[in-house]
Amino acid sequence: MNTTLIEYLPYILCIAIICTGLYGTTNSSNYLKKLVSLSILQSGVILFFIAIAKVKDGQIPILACLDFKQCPEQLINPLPHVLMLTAIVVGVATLAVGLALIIRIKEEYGTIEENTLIEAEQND
Amino acid sequence: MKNKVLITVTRFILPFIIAFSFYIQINGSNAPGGGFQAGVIMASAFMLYSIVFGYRSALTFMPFKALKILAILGIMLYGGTGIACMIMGGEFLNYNMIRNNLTTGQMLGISVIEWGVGLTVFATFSLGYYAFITRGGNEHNID
Amino acid sequence: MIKNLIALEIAIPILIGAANFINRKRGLAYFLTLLTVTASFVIAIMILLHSLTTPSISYHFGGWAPPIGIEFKITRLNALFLVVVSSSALLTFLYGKQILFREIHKRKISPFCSVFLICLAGLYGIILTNDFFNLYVFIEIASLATYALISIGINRNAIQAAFYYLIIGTIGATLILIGIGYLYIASGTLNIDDFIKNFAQIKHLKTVKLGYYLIFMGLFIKSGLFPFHSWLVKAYKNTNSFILPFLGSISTKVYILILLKLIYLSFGTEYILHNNILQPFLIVTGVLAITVASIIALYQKDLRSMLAFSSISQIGYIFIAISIGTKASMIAAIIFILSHIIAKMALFMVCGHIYYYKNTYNTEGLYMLFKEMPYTVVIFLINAASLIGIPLTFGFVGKISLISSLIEQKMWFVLAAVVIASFITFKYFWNFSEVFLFYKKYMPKEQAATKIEVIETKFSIAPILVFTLLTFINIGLGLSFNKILLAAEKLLI
Repeated sequence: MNTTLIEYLPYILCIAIICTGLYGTTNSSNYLKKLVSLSILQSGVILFFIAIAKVKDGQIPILACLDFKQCPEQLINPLPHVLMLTAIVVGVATLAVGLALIIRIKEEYGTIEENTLIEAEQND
Repeated sequence: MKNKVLITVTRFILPFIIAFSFYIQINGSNAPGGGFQAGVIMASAFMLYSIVFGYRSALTFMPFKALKILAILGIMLYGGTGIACMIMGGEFLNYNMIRNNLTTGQMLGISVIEWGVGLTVFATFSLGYYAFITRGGNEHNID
Repeated sequence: MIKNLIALEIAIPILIGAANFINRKRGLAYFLTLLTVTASFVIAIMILLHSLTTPSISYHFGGWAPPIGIEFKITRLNALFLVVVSSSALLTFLYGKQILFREIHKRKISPFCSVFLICLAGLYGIILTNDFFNLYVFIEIASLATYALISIGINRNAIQAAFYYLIIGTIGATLILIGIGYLYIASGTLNIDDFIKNFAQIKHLKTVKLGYYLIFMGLFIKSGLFPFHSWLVKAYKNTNSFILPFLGSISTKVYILILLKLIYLSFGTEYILHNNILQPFLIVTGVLAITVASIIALYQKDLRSMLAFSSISQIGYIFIAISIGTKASMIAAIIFILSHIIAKMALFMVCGHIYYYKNTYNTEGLYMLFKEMPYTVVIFLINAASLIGIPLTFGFVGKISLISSLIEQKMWFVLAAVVIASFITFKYFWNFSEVFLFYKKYMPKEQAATKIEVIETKFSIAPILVFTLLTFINIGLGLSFNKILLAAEKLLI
């Protein structure tokens, strides 16, 4: 390993965010907290993809000069950024469907706490 | 009780938000932006109006039916461009087929589908917002 | 011409699903959706017929060639699964008109049909695509539509089941996304074929290993492998009877198809299964699935939850077949998947038909069903025989292929588990068959104890025709044993 640990810091932080989201999803007893933790999990994945796009001494990938072959600057990889636009949309759609389901759960059962809901389901 | 600060600030800032969303929509290919971002900003302008002035006055100028038609229009623009490219002899969304000058074709194709995405995203977010706030007894009065 | 049909297969359901959004009449929505599903079935048949002559058809979206652009690739395996999924959708729509109109509120049927079309487009995209990130996008499209479809119905537990499936399914899909990220770091390309072309240079990297572990973990969660199966039980038990035959047989199988493609056709079994922890893991979880799930199914009193646990144990069989790693075991896995789709779909349709008339799924309300619906009980018995593996049915072909692959690889412990699990399968189907056929043991002492109100029901011939068709296909394929194995050898590999 010829890279120091500090160069891996962005990836470690992204994995930390993913693990925080995963912990929140599994250990929350309120459905709304589960859903928001799921959103944090997806934000961590998006940051991970952005972190891998960086190239050493790279500039923002917007072409400021007219002829592509004569541009002297090194550009960062724009492909993961474009993929993450789609991933953000997917995350928002998941959040919307989850919130709609929570609203209907609240209307039907009167609560969004996990323990009460599991008991209500077993009694049905 | 109407909050004068909110109403004044909203009246002042709402045109700027809408203009900003159009700016982002148009400059999607040269700067960060594009269809999804513009749709979200326009929807947030709509939601701001609806929060401050009440959803019934928002419904008067943008009823459910109009939003549904906008959503469908956006998807039809996207799909229509793709199928038009297929009819002119290429694959789905092959922009080289719609104009003789390839660069113009690419710019036209990308612009049209981005407008489609922007319209659909705006309409979907606003419909979702309406669907959430009209729960609790009011839903049968709306449709 | 055939190439444009590939794009239309995805575009038409999405566009018609969107156009249906503004429609409020339920009859028109049902008719339009039926028309679209029929059209997609016809296109799938045409693609299958065309792919029998050409080994692989490749469609470049937007005119951009593969490493840069998104590619859809049709091989014979893909085309076969495309036909299977589209015919399942068509059969579900033919079977379910009265059931749909009875169970779902009048105003919700039109959005329901729109979301069904979008789910269908997502499933087609999963089968056809050849690009990793496009695979993730279509997985999410199909999954979100599935969460919405499951939550609609009379039973209010369906909403909780849909939320539970949402949480677990999104975690699975996010793991797939992280895995795709690692594979992109290692290779720089998102196209599966391009990735495999340069695979020899990056084989030794730990990044690739971590990448495909994460992708497989996500796919295991979404296909309902044993420790990750709890969403499946809740979802199948509580959802409405219209979507259950379709989702209960198809939704886990497309992810198993992706696993088959990645393990056998792309990465290669030497890299993935040998010298690796994945083969023991799959064998252990497969054996646990077929034994533990079958034992739990013995104690179920509700018809749908028994069938849900039966699904979990059948998926265990499929994973054992995948983990063996030879060409014969891949054919065994594919035959098993097809036989399970046909038999489970017919069984869930029988469930929906019983619920339509009797309004209950519990054994207490269904005793002596043979007197009132003899034909339905006979269909139940034949399809249960297919799942157990009794000769003359298609399920027997699958089991024999699996057992012969196990004997070839000398895995005696797994063979013993498969045989024991078949006996347990027979026992839990026999529990329900006893309730349907012989009444003296089960008739309660006081007749008015379980009084369930009966609604005026219109007689509908459609479910009966559809599950009869499925049973005929089952027995027909079971009788032509040799021809199937020969055809599978020639066509699929």
